[in-house]
Amino acid sequence: MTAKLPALARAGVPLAAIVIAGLIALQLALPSEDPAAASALESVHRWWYMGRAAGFVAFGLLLASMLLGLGVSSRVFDGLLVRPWVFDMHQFVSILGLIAAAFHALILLPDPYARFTLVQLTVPFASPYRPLAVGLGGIALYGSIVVAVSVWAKCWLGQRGWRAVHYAAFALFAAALVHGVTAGADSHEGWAQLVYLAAGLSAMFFTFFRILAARSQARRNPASPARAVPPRPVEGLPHAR
Amino acid sequence: MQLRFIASKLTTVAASVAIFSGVTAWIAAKAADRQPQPRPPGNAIDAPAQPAPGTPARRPYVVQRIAPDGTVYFETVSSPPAARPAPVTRTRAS
Repeated sequence: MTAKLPALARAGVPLAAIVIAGLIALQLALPSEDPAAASALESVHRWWYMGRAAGFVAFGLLLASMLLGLGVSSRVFDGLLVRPWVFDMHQFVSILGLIAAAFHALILLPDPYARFTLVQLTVPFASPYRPLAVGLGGIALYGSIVVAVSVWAKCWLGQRGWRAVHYAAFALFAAALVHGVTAGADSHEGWAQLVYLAAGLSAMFFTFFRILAARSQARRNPASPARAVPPRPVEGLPHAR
Repeated sequence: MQLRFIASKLTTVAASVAIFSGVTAWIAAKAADRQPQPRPPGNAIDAPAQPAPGTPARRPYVVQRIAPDGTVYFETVSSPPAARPAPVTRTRAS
């Protein structure tokens, strides 16, 4: 393989390591310096806190997966990142996001206040707590599983079927966003609203970029108007789009 | 290249775990600021525990109880126990 990571990506790895080390250091330092936080983490509410935090992590991973996927098809990252890496990370982040979303739901099971049952957490709209909002989250999770599995079922679905299933990811992201805004206990906080706003705007930006890139490509290559991006053999990219 | 792919994935997992830990601690710290401090032992019998901010409201209450041997334990009840009246201090008639 001759493709190499560009300088920006190489610089990003140590930068990410520094950020991670800083966050871990902050996490380690917080309980000793803030006894209130330590007692809160030991309290009966810790499941609720972990569920809320896991929801944000899962939402962030879902957003990252969507942006990476749009980056592959629109080639927005070309010149910054090698496409096989973007595609590989798109798949990996999708699976990681699904794990985080499942954890986000199931960690609420032992919460002594919420007292959710397994059925209430796994069956959409069965929750007594904001049933519509929580149900949307369940639909987003199950739909994302279908979209993720569709990659391996591409030989049976065909290109059109796979594409149709993948288009559902936009609706699923919207459902996850609505779920976060309407069911989240932190939605009234300014930082949470900023997170949702930034996520929604970035998703919209990348989506419009993808549409414009497809139109531009179709204009340049009118022989194949149905194909947004003509396939070009890329080393290390198993599924040409 | 494969090594870099793996390193990127490990970095993603580590970042996710770190962000999860950080956000959990942050939410807990913010909630701790808003929660009443526990009463000292001996004065906290049947003191109703406060639900965490954002917790669903219809849930039963968890009360903190002190066993005769002095151990503290939690018990789930359907309604909040009445506040324990403060002991009346009697003054000796002079």
